[in-house]
Amino acid sequence: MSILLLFLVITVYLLTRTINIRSAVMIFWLQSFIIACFCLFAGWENKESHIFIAALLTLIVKAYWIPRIMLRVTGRIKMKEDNTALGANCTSLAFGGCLVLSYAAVGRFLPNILNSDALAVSLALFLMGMTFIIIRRQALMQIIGLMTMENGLYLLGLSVTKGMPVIIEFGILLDVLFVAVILGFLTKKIRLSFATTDVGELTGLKE
Amino acid sequence: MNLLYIMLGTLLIVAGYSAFELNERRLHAVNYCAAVVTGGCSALIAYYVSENKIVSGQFFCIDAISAILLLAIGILSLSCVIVSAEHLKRDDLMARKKGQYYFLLQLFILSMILVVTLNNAGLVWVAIEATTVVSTLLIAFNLTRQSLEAAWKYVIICTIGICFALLGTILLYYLQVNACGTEAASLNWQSLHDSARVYEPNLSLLAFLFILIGYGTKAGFAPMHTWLPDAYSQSPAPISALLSGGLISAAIYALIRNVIIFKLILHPLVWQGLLIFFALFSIIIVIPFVYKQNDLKRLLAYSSIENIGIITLGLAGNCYLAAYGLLFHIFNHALNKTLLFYLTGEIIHVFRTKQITRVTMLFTKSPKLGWLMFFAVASLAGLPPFAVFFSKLYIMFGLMAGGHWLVATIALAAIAVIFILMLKAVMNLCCGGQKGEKMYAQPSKVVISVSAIMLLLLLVMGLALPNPLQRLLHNAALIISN
Repeated sequence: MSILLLFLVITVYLLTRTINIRSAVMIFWLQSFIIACFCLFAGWENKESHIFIAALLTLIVKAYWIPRIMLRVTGRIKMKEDNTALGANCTSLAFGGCLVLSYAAVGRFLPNILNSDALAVSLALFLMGMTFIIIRRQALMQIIGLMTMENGLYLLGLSVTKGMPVIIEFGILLDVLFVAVILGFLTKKIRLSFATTDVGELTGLKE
Repeated sequence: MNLLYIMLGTLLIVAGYSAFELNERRLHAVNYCAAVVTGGCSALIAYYVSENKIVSGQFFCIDAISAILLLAIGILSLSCVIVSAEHLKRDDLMARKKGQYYFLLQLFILSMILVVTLNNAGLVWVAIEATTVVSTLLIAFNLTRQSLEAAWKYVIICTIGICFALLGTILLYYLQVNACGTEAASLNWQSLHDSARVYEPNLSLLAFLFILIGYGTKAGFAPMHTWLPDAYSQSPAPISALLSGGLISAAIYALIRNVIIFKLILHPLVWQGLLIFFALFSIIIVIPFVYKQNDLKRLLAYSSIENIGIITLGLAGNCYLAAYGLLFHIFNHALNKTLLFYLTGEIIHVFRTKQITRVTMLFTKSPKLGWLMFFAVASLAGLPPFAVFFSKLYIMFGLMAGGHWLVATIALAAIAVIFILMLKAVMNLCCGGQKGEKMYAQPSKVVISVSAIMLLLLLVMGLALPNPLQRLLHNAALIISN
């Protein structure tokens, strides 16, 4: 379990270093795959069948469909680099901050919980996804940030409560899939009318 | 219960049918029928619930609070489909994608109905996220540069917000599991309410904070409101109407349900303080934007933020009168804002602009549109005898009765300023002096009559509230304030 968590932290770190969108998608794929493995382990340890179903769904939706959609969208985009002024270094710094913050938060609010490591890592994933959206300006990078947030939440649910009830879990995954599809669609349309996927360029509507 | 299933089934079937139907007349006819079924069923369910009954099934539960919201969404969706048909007939850009439009519209209505009827905190989250997904496509429907930008901001900000709500809901589930074991924990509103008193307060505060920020983003609380004016101003008029009337009410509904649970655990000062902070911030921050606003739709969007603030104040009031006013205000605001967006759609159609300074002399150019617009804005701003005045009054009295004198005074002052600014804007529209745009077309009679009926409804509700609705509001206020 701890090794998987360690790998998760490493994937997030790698995500902060990459500026190439295609490799970012691959790292996201790896991250979702690790989460699905984590889910399988949790199911095996607790001998609960519904966690296996959740693991399978995660595998299909997050480790297959969503990366595939994103790869298809990236395939059509010429500019594949995220040349933000606040680039990799800034994101990495934020990553360190998020990790410390989430360990501190878990220590403060939930001192006696069993899976404190998993909880801290999931919170770090959540916060990191959010800072990723704030710092990066490429549409696809923002989508990956959003999906990282979702992964963090999924891990959180898994580690503190052994998974939500199956129907809720299923609903959440379905929503995530649709959000990914729609964001991919919007990215495509934004590229068509703005000739870029840098959403920092979207400044038409202001007071 | 059967009525609910009929309604949901009809919406789903008609949505699927619309995606494939090519014949224009059949498409409109089927969607009219679906709208009538939705409106009729929601009215019947609301009437049934008003006689002290509760509709409940495995996944659904409709008590008085849900029934009021359901009734509002039912009326809204009926009027919205009628108005949409007019827009589809005359707008070439939209007319090419009629099928898609109806498909998304019916799914949007369906997801909002699910939000207010599901009985489970987790599933309500799923339904709220579904509204985001569907409405994003509706906001971006015209695929112009601005509407794409608005849709992108909307979906990113709302999804981040809603992720916070999920975080809070997971923590809530954890609290419930700790309190009564994995088997009994189900996130049902009722079971959460029953077991709430033994939850751990520290973690509950964290969960409440996340849920408040999450659903608050979706409702348009002030620091997280930036998506709202963009989304409202860029979507087609019937969609803006549904977003401001229905979606906001659905998000507030989710918040109300959570507050009912958390107020059993948290200290009143904490949760009331948080709500009052967001509410006052939302009301006050609107003033400068309303003052210098020249875009009619954005003006209405900022007014929505103000009204969300007022509604939240009612929630923070924590007494019977405030709760009564809160639900009444959600209902009134939904009707009033919707009809205003319909009228705005007509103004944009007639004058081909939405800039307030370029539309002038509406009273003489098109008296019907002018007078309706005037009274609708006056009603929204809080002119008596319209119902909005009374609901605002109840909320303020409720706050004062609860001892929040200062809060009520600040809010009243801000509301008065906004009242004047809104009237100034509409007076400029209706009898402003300079030479404005000429009329390019006549306003649609259908839209005018739909809006007139809704305005009349508001007037009637202000003068004499129908008995069943009063019973519903009474029961719902009891649920919230106890």
